[in-house]
Amino acid sequence: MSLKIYNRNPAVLVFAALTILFINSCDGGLTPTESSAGVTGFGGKVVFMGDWPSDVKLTYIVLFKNELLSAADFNIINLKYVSELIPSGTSEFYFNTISSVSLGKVEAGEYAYLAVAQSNSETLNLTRSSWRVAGVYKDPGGLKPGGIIVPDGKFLDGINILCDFNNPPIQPPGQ
Amino acid sequence: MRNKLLKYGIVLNILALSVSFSQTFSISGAVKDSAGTPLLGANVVLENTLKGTATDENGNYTLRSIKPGSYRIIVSMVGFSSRSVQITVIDKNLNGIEMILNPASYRSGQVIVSASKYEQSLSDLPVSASLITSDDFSKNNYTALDDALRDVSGVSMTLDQVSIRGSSGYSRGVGSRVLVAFDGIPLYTGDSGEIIWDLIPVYEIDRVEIIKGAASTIYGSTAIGGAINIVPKRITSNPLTFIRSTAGLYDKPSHMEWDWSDNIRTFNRIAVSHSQYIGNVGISASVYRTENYGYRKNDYDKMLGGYLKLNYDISENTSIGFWGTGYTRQRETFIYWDNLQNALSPPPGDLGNSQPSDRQILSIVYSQKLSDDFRIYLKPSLYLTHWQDETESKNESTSKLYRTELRSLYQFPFNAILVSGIEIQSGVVYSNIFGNKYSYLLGLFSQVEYNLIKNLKTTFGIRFDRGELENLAPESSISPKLGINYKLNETTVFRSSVGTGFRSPSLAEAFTSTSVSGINVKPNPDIKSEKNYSIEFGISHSFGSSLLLDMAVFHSEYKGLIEPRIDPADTKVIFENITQAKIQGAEINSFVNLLDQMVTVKTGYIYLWARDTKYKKALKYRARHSLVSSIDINYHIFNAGFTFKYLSRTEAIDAELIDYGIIKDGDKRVDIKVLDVRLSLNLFNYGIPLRFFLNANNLLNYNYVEMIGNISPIRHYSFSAELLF
Repeated sequence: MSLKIYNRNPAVLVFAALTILFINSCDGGLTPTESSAGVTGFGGKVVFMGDWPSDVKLTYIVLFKNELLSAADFNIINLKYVSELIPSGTSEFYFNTISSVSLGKVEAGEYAYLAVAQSNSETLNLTRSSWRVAGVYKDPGGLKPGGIIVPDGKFLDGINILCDFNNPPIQPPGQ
Repeated sequence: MRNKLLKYGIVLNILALSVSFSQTFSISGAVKDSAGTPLLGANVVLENTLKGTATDENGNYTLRSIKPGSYRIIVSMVGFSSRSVQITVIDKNLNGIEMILNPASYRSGQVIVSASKYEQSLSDLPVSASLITSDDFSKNNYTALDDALRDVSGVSMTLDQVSIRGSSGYSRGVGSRVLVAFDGIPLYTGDSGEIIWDLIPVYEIDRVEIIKGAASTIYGSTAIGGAINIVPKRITSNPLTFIRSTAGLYDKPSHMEWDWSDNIRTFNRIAVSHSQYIGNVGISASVYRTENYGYRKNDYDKMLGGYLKLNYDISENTSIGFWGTGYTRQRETFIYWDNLQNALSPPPGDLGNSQPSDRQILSIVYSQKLSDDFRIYLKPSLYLTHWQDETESKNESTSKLYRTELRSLYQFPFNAILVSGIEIQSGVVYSNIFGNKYSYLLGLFSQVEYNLIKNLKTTFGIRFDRGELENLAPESSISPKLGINYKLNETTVFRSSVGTGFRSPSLAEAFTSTSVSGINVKPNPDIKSEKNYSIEFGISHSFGSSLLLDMAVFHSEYKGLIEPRIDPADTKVIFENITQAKIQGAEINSFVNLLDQMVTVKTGYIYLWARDTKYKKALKYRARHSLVSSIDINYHIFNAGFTFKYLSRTEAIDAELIDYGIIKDGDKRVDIKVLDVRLSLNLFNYGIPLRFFLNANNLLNYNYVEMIGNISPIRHYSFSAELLF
């Protein structure tokens, strides 16, 4: 029956399609609750300079709560955040700790070591010798290299890390 | 009437063979609607000639200096189906040729001037084109041209930047890939190369013609994605005064977090216009004032403008005209929101920012008919702008853009028309952000349209441009074009075109050095022109008098596309030739008439595949799907209608502005779904020269952004009254 009506008058079909779209439009669009204002975390950009080492299999942004004073500090308790996997060969990578997450949730506080770490292993593990640091965040406020303070209820922008393959940073102990 | 004309034509055709061709004659008559009401402003042209005119307020027309021969008269007017009749001129004037036009929503027979800079029927073009009429402006209560363009299929706006079929993204008001012209005079400013939409009072617009696809062969730089030509209203023979007043208000925001004001946010505008001929001198003048308190904080806008058009018919073959338009404006600046929780407020540091501006364009139009087949036009113009930021940066710019076009039209005796011209442009800018710079541009163009065989029109054109920006290396460009239009029969028309385009960088793209609202911009002295080519195939088919379908597929490739990006070394924005792009897609438009023209339904859908071919990603600020549909119901003195727009969520945006923390929540965006509703009452049929309009825009109060960090207008209502006497 309804097909016959459509056959007689294509405008009915158009009208029906538009009605569906109208109803679908009543969801209101953007809402304030989607805002990241008041959210604790940080974001920025990683820039890679020079040729990527051929043996790199995995690259992540990692955040440790305490200083890496020995290989033993390279553990899951100390590791508070791991970003999404950074594709090998890329020249720049945008991230934020809200949506670009493989592991962890960043909370307010002082952290000792924010860096870009690369592994020559194809599986994710916490064996210190599998990893090397390609770049370390440098706080403009004068904290030690890698240090960052995340305030409560604030999202820090512009947390940028430079990875210069021709001039790698000092490596933490235990490599 | 039709049979009578046919018989008349056959007899005269036979007699025509033995008549001398040395004299010229005139053809006159009237154009009326089916109720016998004279139609003002109907276009009357002789097919394949340069002869054309428009009807006066009594519906009368006269075509002069017609050589003996057989012709087809085509009469068209927006809102009516076009009519044509074959006539033959032998040895006397032809008077009393009356044409009756029936209402129609189709615009296929409408005469336009923008595709080749002379009058052509829309159905004769090798490219896709669309129209917006003065009636569209009235009934939709469009207050600026960019509002009207949002409702045109294949055209999209990102704030104030226009894009035809995905040609442009968003470059912060700098440069344009669509040439916008008023009466053929480009409207881009001499400094930033942007389009100031409010400079043209909508009350003075007869129609807007939109050419889709590269049009640089005729229009030069900037027409890389297409051209939009605004055709002004004609000066009327008898005195005619027009007054339109509008008052409106914004609804409360749909979320209490956004409700920043205790007051109702209102807007109002009034325009007064008068037109008449005194002897051989025609005058049309208008003044207008608008005030908008804005739905956003720090978004107040007040403008006072004026428009003047003069025309003096020196002789039957010579006329000289002048038009000028300008405004003075006080406007607060809202660049982007504080964050999505305060989406209608700017960052606290931007409060109090404003940008006063004054802009004027002046132009002279000289027309000389050298013979029945040869005309020339001279159009010098001057565009003056001055603006300054009332912010910490104290940015300021004064620019002068001089432009002259000399154009000729020649009709060959073998069904061909040649349009040729030379264009010279010189600009100078004094600014603390662009520096004190000059620019010049020289363009030479020629295009011929030829009826190769019956029903097949071919167009070939070529243009040479050479331009220079201050001390940058001069650049040259050659832009050829080829097009065909084939009428298979009365109902089916095929069209195809291949065109090229280029765009010289604006002074702003090359030399800007500033900081505004946290965005730092640095100059790029190595910037070059961007170039493209586009191909289109289209078909138009009418199914009786109830349905017209128009379909097109298109493909464009861009080289050296200029886009803004953030330099990681110093996080400053720089305009660079950073990429190559491919834009492909399909467009389908339908026009449906129902219940004996009482209901008209127009729907346009476009699919766009816009890809950066160098970095293999989507181009910024292009929606893959867009749909515009409107339904109008005309009953007696009432008109009711609505327009619904849908654009899919843009795939790519300026991610850097978000990741560097410049625009908080800038990644928050959704599909666009907007419903506008209108109701009007026309008392003209009762002899009362009044019309009333009631509009509710964004009726669903749908919250969306065209540009990141900018909520588009929330639901607002307006009432307008139009008086014509």
